[in-house]
Amino acid sequence: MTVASDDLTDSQLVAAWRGGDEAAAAALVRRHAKVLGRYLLSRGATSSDLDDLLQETFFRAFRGLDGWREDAPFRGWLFRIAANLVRDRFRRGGGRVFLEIADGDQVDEADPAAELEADEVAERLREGMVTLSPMQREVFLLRVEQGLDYQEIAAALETTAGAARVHYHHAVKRLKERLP
Amino acid sequence: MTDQHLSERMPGVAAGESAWSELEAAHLEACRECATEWRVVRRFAPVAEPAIDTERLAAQVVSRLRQGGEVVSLESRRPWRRVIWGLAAAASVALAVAVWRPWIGGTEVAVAPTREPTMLPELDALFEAELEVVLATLEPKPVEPIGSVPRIGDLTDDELELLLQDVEG
Repeated sequence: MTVASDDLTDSQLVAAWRGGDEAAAAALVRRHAKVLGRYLLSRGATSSDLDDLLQETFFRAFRGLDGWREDAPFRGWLFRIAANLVRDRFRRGGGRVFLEIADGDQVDEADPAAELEADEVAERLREGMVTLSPMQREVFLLRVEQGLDYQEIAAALETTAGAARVHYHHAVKRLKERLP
Repeated sequence: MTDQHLSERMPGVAAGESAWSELEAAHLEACRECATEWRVVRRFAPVAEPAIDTERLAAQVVSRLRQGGEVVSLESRRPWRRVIWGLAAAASVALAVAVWRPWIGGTEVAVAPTREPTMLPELDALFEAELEVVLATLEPKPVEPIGSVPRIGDLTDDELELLLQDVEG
């Protein structure tokens, strides 16, 4: 059987892979590789590590499907495995998170005062991120930086969607308090 | 239109997956709480996806799955691990040669378990912690007293031949 259609859902593709369809596995890799790559880079992977980490993440995900709850999003499962891989990788360094805080206020570069204020906002947010609990920080970044929904975050962090939502709103509240 | 609704929509809009409707934009302009949240969220908006050859990656993953290989630690796939094993093998040979050396000068000099000068520039690339791992693998075995080491004159022709092969490569 060969089903490799990109129109199928993740669950359908996983079922096809379990039925022996290699093209279904390939379709899942193609579908999720880039977003997973972006996540790995944000967690400290270097460009030279990326291929290895991605390959290992997908390999472990397919080989360990018995550990995946079928009612949970497959992308959350991938993120959980990727997170464990980078955690193991950087265990000696205590883990690394690279924050890219964008220049979201459309600063006029000709206006030094506005530029200064934008820098100050970025610094305040960086400081705010440090004050969040690890769970709040991880949920916030998965939601905003990686674009995961609460179900996917729950699968990635082994929690519930409701708890993820609460962590997210606590994180946002604390970061908002940092802004002038 | 509620703050909660807007809050839920923010990550998607920040990522460029959708845009504010007129109603939402009006709310955003009027509501200070939502405007502040939007300032936070859009600063963490996703960066561009990395350039990844997904076709090649998919082929590699499928190939590994087909081979049915075991899950391996990424660390064990690091090149310096091979250096460690190579070094350990080289050290074993060096130690063996060191133990066989007492005939030189014929004096009762203790055989120091020193490492032969290595020609492994890969070591230069290792971090301190990794070098410590290498050193741990080179922990020398206790050296027997010099008297128990056979003298060259005690060796048979075959043993001499083996020794020469070791020394001369």
